[in-house]
Amino acid sequence: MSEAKLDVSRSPDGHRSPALRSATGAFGAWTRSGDIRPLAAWVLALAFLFTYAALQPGTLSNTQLGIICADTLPLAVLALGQGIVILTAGIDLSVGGVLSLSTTIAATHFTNGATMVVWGLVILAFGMAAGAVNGVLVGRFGLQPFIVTLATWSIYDGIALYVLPVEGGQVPVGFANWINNSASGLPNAIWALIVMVVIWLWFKRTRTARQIYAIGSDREGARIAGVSIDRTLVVTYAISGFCAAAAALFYVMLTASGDPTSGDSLILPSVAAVVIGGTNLFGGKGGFVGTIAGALTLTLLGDVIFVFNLPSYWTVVADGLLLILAVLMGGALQQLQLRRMMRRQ
Amino acid sequence: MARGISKAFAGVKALSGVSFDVVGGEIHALLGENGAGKSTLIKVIAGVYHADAGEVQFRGERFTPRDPDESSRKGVGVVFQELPLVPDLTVAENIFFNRQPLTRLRTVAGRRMRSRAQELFEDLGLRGIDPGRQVRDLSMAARQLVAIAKVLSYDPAVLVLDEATSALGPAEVSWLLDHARQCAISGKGIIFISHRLAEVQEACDRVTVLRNGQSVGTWQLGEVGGEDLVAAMLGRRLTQLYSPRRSEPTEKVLLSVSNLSTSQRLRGVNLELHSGEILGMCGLEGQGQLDLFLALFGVVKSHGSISVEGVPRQFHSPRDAIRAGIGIALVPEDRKGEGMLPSLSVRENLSLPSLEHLHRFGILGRDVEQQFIGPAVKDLRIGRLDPEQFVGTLSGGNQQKVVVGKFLLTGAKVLLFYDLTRGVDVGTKAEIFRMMEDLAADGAGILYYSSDVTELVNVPHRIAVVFEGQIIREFRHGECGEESLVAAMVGSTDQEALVSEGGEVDS
Repeated sequence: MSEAKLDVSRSPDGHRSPALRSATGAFGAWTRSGDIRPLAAWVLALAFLFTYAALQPGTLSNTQLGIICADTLPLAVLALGQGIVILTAGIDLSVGGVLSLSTTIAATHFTNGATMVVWGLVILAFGMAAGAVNGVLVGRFGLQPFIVTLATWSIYDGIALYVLPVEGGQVPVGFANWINNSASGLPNAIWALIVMVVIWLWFKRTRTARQIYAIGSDREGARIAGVSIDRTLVVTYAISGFCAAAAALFYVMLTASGDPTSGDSLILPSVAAVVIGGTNLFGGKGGFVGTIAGALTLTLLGDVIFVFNLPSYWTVVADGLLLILAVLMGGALQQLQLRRMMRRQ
Repeated sequence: MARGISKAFAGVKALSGVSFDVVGGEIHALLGENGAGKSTLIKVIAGVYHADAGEVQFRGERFTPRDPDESSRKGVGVVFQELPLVPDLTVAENIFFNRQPLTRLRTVAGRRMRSRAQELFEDLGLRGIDPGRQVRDLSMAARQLVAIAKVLSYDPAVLVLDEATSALGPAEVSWLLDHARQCAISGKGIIFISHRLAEVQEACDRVTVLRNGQSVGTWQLGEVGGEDLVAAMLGRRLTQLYSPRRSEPTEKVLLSVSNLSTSQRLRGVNLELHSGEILGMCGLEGQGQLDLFLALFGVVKSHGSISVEGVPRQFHSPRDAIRAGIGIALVPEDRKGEGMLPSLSVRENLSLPSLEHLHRFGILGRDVEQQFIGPAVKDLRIGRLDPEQFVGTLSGGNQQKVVVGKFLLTGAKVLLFYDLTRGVDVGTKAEIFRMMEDLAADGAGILYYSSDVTELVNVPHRIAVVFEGQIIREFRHGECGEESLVAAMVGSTDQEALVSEGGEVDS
């Protein structure tokens, strides 16, 4: 191919304005070949929100929405990382262990402003390193993500029990209160979710993200296209570990204490939020926009069950049922879409 | 035996109102470009899809199998292009899947099953496939033969062969065509799908051509010439399949390889590829040609030396090869994977190897990207495609274009084309050959392996014959015909060896 043909200045489509083109392009891409499942997840989340609002007047107030978002925050952050791993057709069970251990460190070492900054950074760095270890084992040594992260989950859980044998410890009140405060008229928790979406939208446009989607779509194909599988997977799992540690910080804000088993019951919801949000478990398709709806749905499901005065174990059962339902619905939606696509060809 | 399989479709555009019939005693060819609807039609007949309108009749009655298994049991056996074999099961287990002979304890009688598979192979005249081996360990050609044997074991009244010859070597193809003829003589109806026009003209009685989901017409093969058939498939006259030669090799050596070996099948290969040159490669399946391509692209480890434009290189990964100016378009024998990312869009596929040059502070701009892929979209005539469409939903020919296109965009000088024209229709083939001439005329060097001997005799400047991991012979363009090339491929310098292997089909 001659150099002249690689001229970047030629515009393939000159007569429409760039803004219009990219807007119609983005929408077109969504409706045409894209997934309707994230959209379906938002419909589901809003349906739960309005059901809850009907049962519990005042839900739609700023403060109440803030509380719902605060409750969702740890799960949403956890699922952000989990979702990125699932995009590569992997899974990260170790987020449970990282979260448990991180809460115990926070609850035993956060005493004042200085220790909070230092140990907060230590926790985030630990999460990233723990994830990177998974990434090396999965990417470099080609081990199964399920087995690797099952093992590291157990390891971090064990260390958490050493740091803090039973639920307890405490964090400074000022730290814990952050999640319930507001800034510029909007609860901090809502701000946090907005910031996460912005971060995701940025991340999705990076090279790394494209390589992650490529690996999930076809690992060998991505390799042939020059994607470094090792490096990308290390980054992927490191992001997930970092998210799990960050989720732990939000978690201790809610509970104001540490718990060496706190992460275990969040593993299933973290995967469920991703799947309900429309991300394909076989990789290559999906994103955080749907995942966040999945996380909100799971939180609201618990709230609705609470309103009905059902025992809390029903929440756990309902989580599982909802996950199965989401997978069924996802399959049906995909069939529908395939049929539509075939008709168009 | 089988009469009046007719069908009409209205709702689905993949097939609109196609009628087609096959009678006992004939081999009826089904021709059409990729995406013309051939496989869809076959899948409707076998019950993979259900017709929105119209109906299939078999022996005068309405035929609506729920799945291919039921279709086989009722007498319509289909050898699918995708070879639905279970890789982890043995050959015998695959053949008798769902109808394994049982012992008194209701467990599968393994030994009896294997000996029955052995008998089946002997009846069919197939040698060299062990019924106890896992399908995973078989070559693509052997898998194809197993799939054919499986369908034949149901003794179907109507036999459908969908691209069953594309993975087979010359001797195996002639075995299959002979067998199909025997079936026809015994009163069966055969539907034969192939992109190789020569096979169709040699073996078939009637031909139906599909285009864009519609039937163009049905002819007796004696009545129409090859050009007419191609014109019917394309909807226009194809002026030339092989582009006029515009490129000539120059003195400049782009790629030089010496004593290259891999731990698998490559045993010391030496070759030089010049700028402006198309170097053809041929060989029977599994002679090391795939290893050579993978080693040159850093996918498998190799020993020996590789230099690109005079600079010695070591490739530890495809990234190294891309940086050195090498591009690959690899169409594996099963035509799946390796080279395209189905759930990503055309745009994302095309830009993937070039992301290093496209980002600003790590962020990819959609507009920059769109402009970057513009030339490829234009040059490859994928202009009609929507850059946002998923590659997985494209037809085979268009997928191939995307696979090639992404390396044209990296500015690769050395292009490795591995069986790029396998299973591709004539129209796309002509475009691929034209593109190769264009690239060579622009100074690129192309290493071009093909399983189609006719192409190799016509397209490249030189042809290298690979046998048992080495290049054993070289011909210049025009120096050899198809027969002498095939003779060289089996490792012989004369015709005799070929004749003696003619009757035998080995894996």
